[in-house]
Formats: sequence, structure tokens, C-alpha cells
Amino acid sequence: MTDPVYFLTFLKASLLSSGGAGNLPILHADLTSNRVATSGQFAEALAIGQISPGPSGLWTVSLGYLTRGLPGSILAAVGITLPPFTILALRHAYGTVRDHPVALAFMRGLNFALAGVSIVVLIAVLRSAGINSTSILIATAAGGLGLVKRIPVLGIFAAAALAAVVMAR
Amino acid sequence: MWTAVGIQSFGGGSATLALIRKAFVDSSGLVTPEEFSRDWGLVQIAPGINLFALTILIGRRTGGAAGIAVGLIGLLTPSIAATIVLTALYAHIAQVPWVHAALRGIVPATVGIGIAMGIQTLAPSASEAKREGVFPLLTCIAILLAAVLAERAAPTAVVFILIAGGLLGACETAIRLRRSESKSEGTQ
Repeated sequence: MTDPVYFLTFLKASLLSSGGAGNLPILHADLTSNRVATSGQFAEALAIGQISPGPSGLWTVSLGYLTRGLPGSILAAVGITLPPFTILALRHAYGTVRDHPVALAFMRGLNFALAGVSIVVLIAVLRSAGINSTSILIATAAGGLGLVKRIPVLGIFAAAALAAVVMAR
Repeated sequence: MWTAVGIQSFGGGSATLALIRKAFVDSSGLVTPEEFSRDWGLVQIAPGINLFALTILIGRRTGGAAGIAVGLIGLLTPSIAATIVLTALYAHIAQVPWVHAALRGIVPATVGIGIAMGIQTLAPSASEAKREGVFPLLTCIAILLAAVLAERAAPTAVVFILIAGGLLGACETAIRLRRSESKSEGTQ
């Protein structure tokens, strides 16, 4: 994959998705099918993205570094920064459609489809780290704590890392 | 202000959002609570990372084109630099046994939190569909299950799967609205 195509892959994934991890399924499909990245690198990038400062979507910068070094991280950063500029055009159009039930239903259907696709991708990411009783236990506990929102995300990751290190001994 | 947010915002999107709100609404008053809520609602439909779009809107509101540039550079430069440094550091120590073991804990935690965030994101939409009736709710569940099957069958067709999900949702609502309009016309 050439650098321009690599950049366009990140640009396309962000242009066709929303939110910090919305581009995960598209990037996973494009980069793993072209053998540019592995599910393991996606898992590593997502984990690093969670403990880095700033918006959670910066995991793609980490993925860029893991797959193409510093140039890859810069291409990824630019690729995810450009699509949000469409908000400047959308803010004019939004007023006319935001309350239309069919437009809202389209967004709702898209979000449920995104959830379904994300489940498959997240399982692939989990599989890359090895699915066993420990990983399932940690994933379930982290998910439960994430839903309760009482413990900061960094605290959950620290506890998960500590538990895995202790269990590995 | 943006750089301070970029440096301090450990904990993902919600932490970053809270810091932006604190800096621009609570502390400086450059943005009113109503404007902030409206902008946050608007960026939900924008492609890409919501917080980037929010930064663009607040930057434009507070300083025009220069405000946008200052906002993005200020927020992203420290965050991206820290992400690159952390990744480079990780790449050097990835094979150290305890780092490898720790990652085997962090990856499942990332997956668990990802699923939790997905549930939190879908909950309002699911409640809304339930209020509209059984059929809209069943349509949403069917879209989710169909997306799982479609993604397993054709992993590279993500974009088409998402658009198909949106179209299914829109069609169900359009048909339901048309039927209710026909019914109301019939009763009159």
C-alpha cells in the first residue's frame, strides 16, 4: 500500500464514520485485508489510545506509528483531522433535517448497524490477545465498571494490567 | 486554554469533553451553556471524531478561522505528541515479559469498555424505539443482528453494511409514518 493510499484509507474511514472508535471496523477491514496491520496491532493501538491524553480517537495515530513509524502516525493524524471540518457545512443543512423522523431513523439504523459490526471487530481484537477465562473475566469486569462510571478509565486499565501480570506469574 | 485541555485530558473523550466545557463555559464564559449543548448535539452527525468537530465549532465561535487553527493545534499537538511518544516507548519494551503480560490485561479491558460505551451510546436510541412501538424496536434489533452476520460474511463491506442499516431504519419509519397518515385520513 502506497503512502497516498494509506492516507486515503484513514481519511475514508473517518469520513464514513462518527466518534472515536467509529472508524475501527472500516480501518480493520481495509488494513488487515491488505496485510498492512494485524488484529494484534489494532489491539495494541486501542490500548495505547486509551491511556494517552486527548480524544479517544487518537488510537489511530498509535496504529499509524505501529504500522508505518512516524510518517504513518502523521498521515493517520491528518487523515482523521480533515473529516470533522464538514461540520462547518453541515451546521447550515442540519437545521432543515434534524427533526425529520426519517432522517433520525436513518441515523438510528446506522448506529445499530455500527454496533453490530463493532461487536465482530472487538471479538477479533480480543481473539488477537487470546480468548481464555482470564481475558473474558477482565473484559466482563471492565465492561461492568465502564457501565457504572464510578472508576476512571485509567484506573480500570491499571487494574486490568495488574491483574494480568499477577495471573501470569 | 486548548493546550491545557490537550495536556490534562487523560481518560478519553468524556474527560476531554468535560475539560473543554470547564475551560470555555464555566471558567471563561466564552461559550454559553446553551451554545455548548447545541454544538455538542450538532457534532453527533459530523463525520470523524466528535471532539475535533466540537473544537472547530468553538474555535470558529471564539476566533473565526484563526480560532479554529489555534483550537486544533492547541488541543491536538500535545495529545498527538504524547500518543506517538507512548507508542514509540511501547514498541521498544513490547517484548519485555511483564509489559506483554500487562497488555494481555489491557486489551480485554479495552474490549469490555468498548462494549460498555456501545451500550451507553445505543441505550437512548433503544428507549426511543421502544417508545415508538414494538416494531421499531424489533427493527433496531434485527439491524444489529443482521450487521453481525453481514460483517462475519463480508468483513470488507463495512460501509455498505452501515448504509444498509441506516436505510432499513429510515424505510421502517417512512412506511410506519405513511400508514399512520393513511389511517388518520381514513378516520377523518
